[in-house]
Amino acid sequence: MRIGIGLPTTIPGRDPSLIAAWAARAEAAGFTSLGVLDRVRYDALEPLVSLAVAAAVTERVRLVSMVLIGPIHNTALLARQAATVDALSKGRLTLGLGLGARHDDYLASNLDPTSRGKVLTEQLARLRDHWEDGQIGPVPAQKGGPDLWVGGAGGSSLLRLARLADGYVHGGGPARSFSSAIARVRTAWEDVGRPGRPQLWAQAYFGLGDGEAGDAYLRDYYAFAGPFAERIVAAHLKTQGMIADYLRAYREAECEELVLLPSTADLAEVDRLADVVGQVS
Amino acid sequence: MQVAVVGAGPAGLYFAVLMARTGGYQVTVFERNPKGATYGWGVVFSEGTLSELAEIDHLTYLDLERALVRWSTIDIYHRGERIRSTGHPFSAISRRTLLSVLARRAVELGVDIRYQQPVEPPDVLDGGFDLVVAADGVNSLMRETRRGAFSPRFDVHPTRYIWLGLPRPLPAFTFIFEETPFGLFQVHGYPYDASGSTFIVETATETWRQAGLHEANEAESLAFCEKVFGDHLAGEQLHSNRSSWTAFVTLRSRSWFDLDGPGPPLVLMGDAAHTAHFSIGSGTKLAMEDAASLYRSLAAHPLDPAAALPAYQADRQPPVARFQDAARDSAGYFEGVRDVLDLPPETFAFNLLTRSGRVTHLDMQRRDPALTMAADRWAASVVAGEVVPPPAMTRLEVGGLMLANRLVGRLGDLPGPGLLMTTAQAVSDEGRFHPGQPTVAAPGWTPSDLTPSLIGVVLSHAGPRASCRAPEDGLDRPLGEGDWDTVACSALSYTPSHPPSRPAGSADLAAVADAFVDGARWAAEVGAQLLVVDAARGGFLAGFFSPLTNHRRDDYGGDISQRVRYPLEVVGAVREVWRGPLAVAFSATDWAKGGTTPPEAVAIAASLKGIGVDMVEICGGGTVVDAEPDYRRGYLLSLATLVRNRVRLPVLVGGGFWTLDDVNTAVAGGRADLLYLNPYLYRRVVGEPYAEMGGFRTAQD
Repeated sequence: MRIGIGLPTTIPGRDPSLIAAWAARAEAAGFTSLGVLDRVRYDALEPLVSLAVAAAVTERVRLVSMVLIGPIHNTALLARQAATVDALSKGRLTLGLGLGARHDDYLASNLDPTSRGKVLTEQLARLRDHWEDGQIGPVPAQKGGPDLWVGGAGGSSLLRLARLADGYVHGGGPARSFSSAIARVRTAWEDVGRPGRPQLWAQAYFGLGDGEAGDAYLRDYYAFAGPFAERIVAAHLKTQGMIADYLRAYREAECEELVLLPSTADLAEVDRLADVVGQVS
Repeated sequence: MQVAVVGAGPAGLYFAVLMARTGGYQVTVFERNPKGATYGWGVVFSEGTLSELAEIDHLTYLDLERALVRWSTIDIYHRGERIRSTGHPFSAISRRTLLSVLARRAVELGVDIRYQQPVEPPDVLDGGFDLVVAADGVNSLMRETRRGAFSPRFDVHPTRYIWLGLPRPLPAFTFIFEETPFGLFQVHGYPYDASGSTFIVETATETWRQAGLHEANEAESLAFCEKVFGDHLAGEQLHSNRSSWTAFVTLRSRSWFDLDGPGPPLVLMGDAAHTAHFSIGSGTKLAMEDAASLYRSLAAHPLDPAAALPAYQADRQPPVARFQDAARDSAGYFEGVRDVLDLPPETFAFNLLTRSGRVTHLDMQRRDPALTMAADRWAASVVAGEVVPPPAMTRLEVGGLMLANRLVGRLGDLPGPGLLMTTAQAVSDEGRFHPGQPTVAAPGWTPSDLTPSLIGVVLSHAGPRASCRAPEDGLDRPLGEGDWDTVACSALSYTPSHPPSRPAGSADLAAVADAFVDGARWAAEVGAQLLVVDAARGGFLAGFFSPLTNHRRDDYGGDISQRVRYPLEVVGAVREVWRGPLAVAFSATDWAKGGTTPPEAVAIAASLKGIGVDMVEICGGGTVVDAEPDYRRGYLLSLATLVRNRVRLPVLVGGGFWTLDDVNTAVAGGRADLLYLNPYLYRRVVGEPYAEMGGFRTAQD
């Protein structure tokens, strides 16, 4: 199982110049991917623009949106932006798309959330068309464009994933929930008769320096989720022991890459996490 | 802190007891009924619940423990025969005793219980309390006053039940199935103390009406039940306690608490928050577990409801949802039980005991090896004394073909399954899903490639899904360059990227039918042992079955009897040239609103049986792209069971079978005959260990 790290793009008040420094440090520390989240109505940096900055200061790490709220984007422009990041990074982008959990992101984007499932289904097909037919520039570095992932473990999301995407990114939680989700992913893949295998990734929050500040951020970020926020706080990885247990469980559950997202915008977190991962791996 | 609890049922009283033991809380319980009034008979606890109760308040537990009846036997009365199954530990207690133990303990601890108190929500909310706990049942007035905060959702079940008492302890948990001229009636009965048993009578709403029970009063209902179940009452009379026929309502609430007022924080508990069908006997258990959880959350966040209530909900919602899923499956079983009544008694019993998906073949082997062996023996059709293989490894005859086991794989996967299916072979170039798809003219394999397993050839026509790119690139992406016109039942586009298909005219209909017939001849020539006509997955034939894709105004459109006509013509023509076992795959559900219904699925299978089809493969979806499948374990199994037992036709089903235990459970319970294993999991879970052991037996061995 490979280990990636998130960029602190959604932590309010971070110094924007931190993004480039964080990305460079993460690559130097051996992480294999840089993940970004998407949220419109929050003090959060735009994910693809942030990945473009990361692309400029790194050479090897994969750049991953996990996940971008697809239906709030115009599909042609999204295809173009993603192709641009892919070209700038010499083919390191993986585009994760989902519906997002919040209606307010749609309303803030002046869109009706009710048809978002249909829009995402169509978007997944059209993105690939755009990247392949080359009518909208630039040509992505990866042949046929970046891999597409879908987040969300409901039936319609899984069907969408199996029909049109390349991988699944789990929304977080204990390894048991990951296992049960990927069993359904594989069931969906089999149901539609798709050859090959989906890639299976997951994510979790960590905060090794100031765990309390991290908890406060998670409570604020997930305030929209009501009581669910407390479950996210409870799962926040704050000690070496928690990280060791989590990694072991996810490895056993056949996760291919686990991206650990920061809960504080403290650059030293990159090295702290690298240390801990090095010791427990 | 002042806490009001509305409702002196098990959850309300138990919570009051737990809080009263904790410093800093003054608890007042409001109950509209008089002390000692109760409208149930007995309640069931599992071992797990009891150990939790023992841990959390030992004194209460000791009082309850003395009044518990424990048993581990289940008696099933089916067609005049009693099947007794052992190894299922349960405990029960009289509801009256439970409430009096809890009330006594609460009073000892200084709880103020106000009986016969008409509870008006505004009075409680304005009563100066710091926290209000709504434990006032499924019709909770407290919840309804702030309904918007909780978003309750109610699902009404299609059966009626009445909660009666029997003044005698039944010797076991008892299920009774009695067929009457009006239809089937069933009993869920269990003893709760030395003097009595709960006796719940349930029937389909339609049967209830047929029997005139919708117009019957309490005494008439009682007399009716005594007559139907007279043989089981040993002369005793059934007791009623203001009992009436009810449709069970499953309640799910999105939120279980409200901090935003007006008034103090309000939290739901027990039936006020959620209900689970009585057939898994978990209502009181879940309610008391809620009480324990809220107590623990308040202990972790003392005097801080704003922190404790979210923690309580986070703790309880996931396990309650799992129980509600199991209860839904169990309720679904009783809604459809008349379809499995003809199963042999032990198979019927095995099917009943594995109904909720929480007990599998492996569990049953531990709990009741004798009954499991009897069910396995039926699956294996062997007489006593012979070696009985596990159900997945038993033989099956389909249309004169003997299959070595119940597993079906895909050609190219590991050998071992009794039957290997080819990928879908297009009957014509026009009917290819994508240019690389093997066709009857260019199959991409020869009979010499075939492994020792028996081979089923699948014939398909992609209809509106034709002319796409290879599935590796994503499903249903139109080919672009080199594409061809597609033909379908009606002039629809499969996705917004597709041009509309040409609606099939009479020449198209004849051509496709001829192509299937030619395909069947070819299959016979290459030595296929079984033929599958693919009328599923949104292809040409499937388009006729579903109302979502069949908009025809000619004889091939309309109600289901019209919509089956064209596929029946094709299958009938194939039947004439193909003498071997013939199967048809069709979608028994479209996973979408307005799609094929379960009765229509039964009608499709029955009409196929009528023209000599030997087996059906139950599929789901493929009809429209934005569908909502439910990809849980064995997700098509209940539809397969319905079709198999209603139509009495062998069924093949795939989807979410992950272990041999899943297959054993399905086969031993008479739910399905042949099962596809997920190839990836098959390789992981089954293939490797069995391959190491030299693989499966095959027909040629």
